[in-house]
Amino acid sequence: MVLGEAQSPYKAIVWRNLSPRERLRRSWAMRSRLPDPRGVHDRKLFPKP
Amino acid sequence: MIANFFQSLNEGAVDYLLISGQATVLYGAATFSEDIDLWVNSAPENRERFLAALRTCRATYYKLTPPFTMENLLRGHGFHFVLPGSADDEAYLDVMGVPPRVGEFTTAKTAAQWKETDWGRLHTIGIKDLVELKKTQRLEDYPIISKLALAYFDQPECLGSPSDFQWALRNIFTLPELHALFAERPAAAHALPPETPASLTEFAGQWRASGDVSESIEQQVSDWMQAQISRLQNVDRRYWRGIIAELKPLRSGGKLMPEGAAV
Repeated sequence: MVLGEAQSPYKAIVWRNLSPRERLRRSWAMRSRLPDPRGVHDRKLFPKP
Repeated sequence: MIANFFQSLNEGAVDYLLISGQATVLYGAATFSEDIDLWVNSAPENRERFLAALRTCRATYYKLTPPFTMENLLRGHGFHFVLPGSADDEAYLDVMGVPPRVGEFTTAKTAAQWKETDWGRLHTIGIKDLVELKKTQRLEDYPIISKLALAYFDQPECLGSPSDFQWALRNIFTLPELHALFAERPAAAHALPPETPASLTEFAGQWRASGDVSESIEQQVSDWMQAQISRLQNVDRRYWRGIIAELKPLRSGGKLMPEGAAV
């Protein structure tokens, strides 16, 4: 699954009907496709002033 | 690795709540979060149990982390750890003892839910506290808050009462979610909070009359929502200013935990 698919309107409609277990599974699977998860985390947590 | 960590927390009777990104994923309000955030009960014995769980999992300190002392926990600092994994599978763990805008841990715990996941049973913060935590400076948090307000009506504790609708209307900051609330819960259009601005009153009136809303009223409500977001962003900015100021002397004095050091 790519980020674009995950953010599509179709995905948004079905997302609420998934179980919490399935949501977490899919979300973490998306994370594994990030080229730089550390960079994403740092930009969110330690934004440049 | 993450499952082992939560197993260590549960087996060690650590009092924690899963908060922020992964909690919003579990409630269906977000589709992605790259890290794990925990609210840990700051009671001294619980702090010790939490440290033991981190050590069991060979966690290391990450950037800008002050010593994990009672004093720093109670002052509202954030603590950042890495749970080891393969190069592209390490997990970032952010921890607080006193997060902003929520009350006591023990009170929040009464509204928490256990969620069954591939990581084990996760003690997850309740939606109303989660909404308060997400009122950050990040603009992208406000559509998520709005979706949490809708997701609240799927929770067993929600009665669908006028006060539930009023809470939701105070926490919806996006037009699509406002339309969704009225479409899914028409009674919400009859239960506006007393402080509702004229534009939102007109929005609800048009919705009740025709199921549609004029573009000009939508624009006025959107402007009001943007003003609400700006106000909340400023409140959060002020909240963190003092805590960040406390980090600066710790950093210049070499008193932050060394990145990569074992817990």
